[in-house]
Amino acid sequence: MTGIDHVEIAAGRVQLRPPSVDVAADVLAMLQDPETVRWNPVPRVVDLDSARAWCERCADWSGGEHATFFVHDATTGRLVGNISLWRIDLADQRTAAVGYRTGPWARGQGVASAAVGAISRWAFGALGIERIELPHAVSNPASCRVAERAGFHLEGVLRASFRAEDGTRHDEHLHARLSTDR
Amino acid sequence: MTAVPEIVHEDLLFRPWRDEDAEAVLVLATDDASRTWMRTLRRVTDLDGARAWVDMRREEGRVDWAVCDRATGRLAARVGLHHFDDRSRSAEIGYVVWPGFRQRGLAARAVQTAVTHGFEVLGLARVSLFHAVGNPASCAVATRCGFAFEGVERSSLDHGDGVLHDVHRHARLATDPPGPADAAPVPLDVPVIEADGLVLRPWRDDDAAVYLRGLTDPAVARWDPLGAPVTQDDARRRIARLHRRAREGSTVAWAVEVAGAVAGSVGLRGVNLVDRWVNASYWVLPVARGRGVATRALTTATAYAFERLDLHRVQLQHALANTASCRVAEKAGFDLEATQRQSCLLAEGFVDEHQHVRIRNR
Repeated sequence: MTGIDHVEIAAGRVQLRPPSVDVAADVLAMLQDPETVRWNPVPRVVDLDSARAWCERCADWSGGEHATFFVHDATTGRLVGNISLWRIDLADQRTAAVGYRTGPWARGQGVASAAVGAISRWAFGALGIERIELPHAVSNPASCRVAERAGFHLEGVLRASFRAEDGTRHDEHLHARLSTDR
Repeated sequence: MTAVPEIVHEDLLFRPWRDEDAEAVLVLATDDASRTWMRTLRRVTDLDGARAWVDMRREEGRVDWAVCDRATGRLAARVGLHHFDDRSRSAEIGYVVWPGFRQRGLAARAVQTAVTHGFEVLGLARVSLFHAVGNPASCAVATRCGFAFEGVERSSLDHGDGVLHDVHRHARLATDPPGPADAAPVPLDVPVIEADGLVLRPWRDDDAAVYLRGLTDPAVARWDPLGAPVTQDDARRRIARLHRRAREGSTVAWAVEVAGAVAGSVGLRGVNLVDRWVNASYWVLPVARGRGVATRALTTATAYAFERLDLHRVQLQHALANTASCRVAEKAGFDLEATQRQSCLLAEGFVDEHQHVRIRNR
């Protein structure tokens, strides 16, 4: 499996950049936010050091199975979220999945929708991906709105497929967008 | 490394894979149906490839069984759990049955045994099952084994033919009953088939006139419980309904052409992929009668039902007084099975019907 080269993607009010340890403090704040912990936890990040280590892991695209970007405000440059193309399978299926987080200070502004749109265009156009899946817990309607705005069709409901940190199980919506959609 | 224990289930032995299984794998790799749906099997062209395939079954992160017929020791099936996710306590299940062991519910037994092991021994909460929408046999196994249909993943799986196929996603939870689950809607293809001097093709909008002519012929209309269409618009609506029922997964209906002109109709109606039977029906235009068109069309449609839809039984009913239809059934190898009393409501009232049947491979 070959690695993926770092790129930056401009997407209007936000920019997708390869992860940097410089924003570890904001990363830590984002990952410790209760909503993030609820739907997208990273349990091993507990302090600034572990946040830095996580940033470094995110910046390592050499395995070719993921490309994780940090999402920055295009004007102020501040971290507003992260987005990851993961489960990338270029060799066999030409498919991938997408996941994202938005910092609590940047929610409700269309950050995730803009980032999903941008990473999808890059995945289809530059990587040759043909299908991107976007699963989210049914009880997380904010994520559903992101999926719909970014043109990801609802394909089905996976029963009890997501297990939260507290051990409760949740149904997930499976959304997907094809390179040929729209 | 998760253990792969031996499990005895009646006449079957579930055991870990062995090096010498490669020879049987090589046999499986020559089976077109298996190659169609198993990407990994397409790569098997010699004994070394078969050995590599067996090694894959034994990879870390898989619980994969060779399922053997206990009486002969022959390899009958493969079933395995993989893609374990500890966090959500989930996995996927995959299976294949060797050609000589099909048509006896073996896949369902293998899946039940493996999924029970997954829930009860491995502590799984959820097992997913994926199959191409074009593989209704696998859908029937999923339904029979209690894997609820959850959705259609579009362009999701390349079976090694370079095409991204739409995929049914099924899953069974540890709390689900062992089956059957509600059947998923499986859209049915209506392919063009050339056989025996005939061309079977889908009905088209612009066939309305000939469709109307066929169904309003007195020798056909008399036996039509729906009543013949009256206008070309009615005929067009009936044709649209055939297409809708194909999409809904219940009907495959063909216009039958002889020398480029429509001569009649043949259809498979009420497709039951779980119990694996269907009802056949046919009619022929007056000008095309006496040349075995119905018999040939019925024979072709029946072969399609067995080979492509993987059905076990094709049955047909006709009113007792419809002796022409009885002769077609007999000539096409359909045994008379029963006389059903008052089972069909025609314009002339309730009539008795013959039920004929052909069983696969008989």
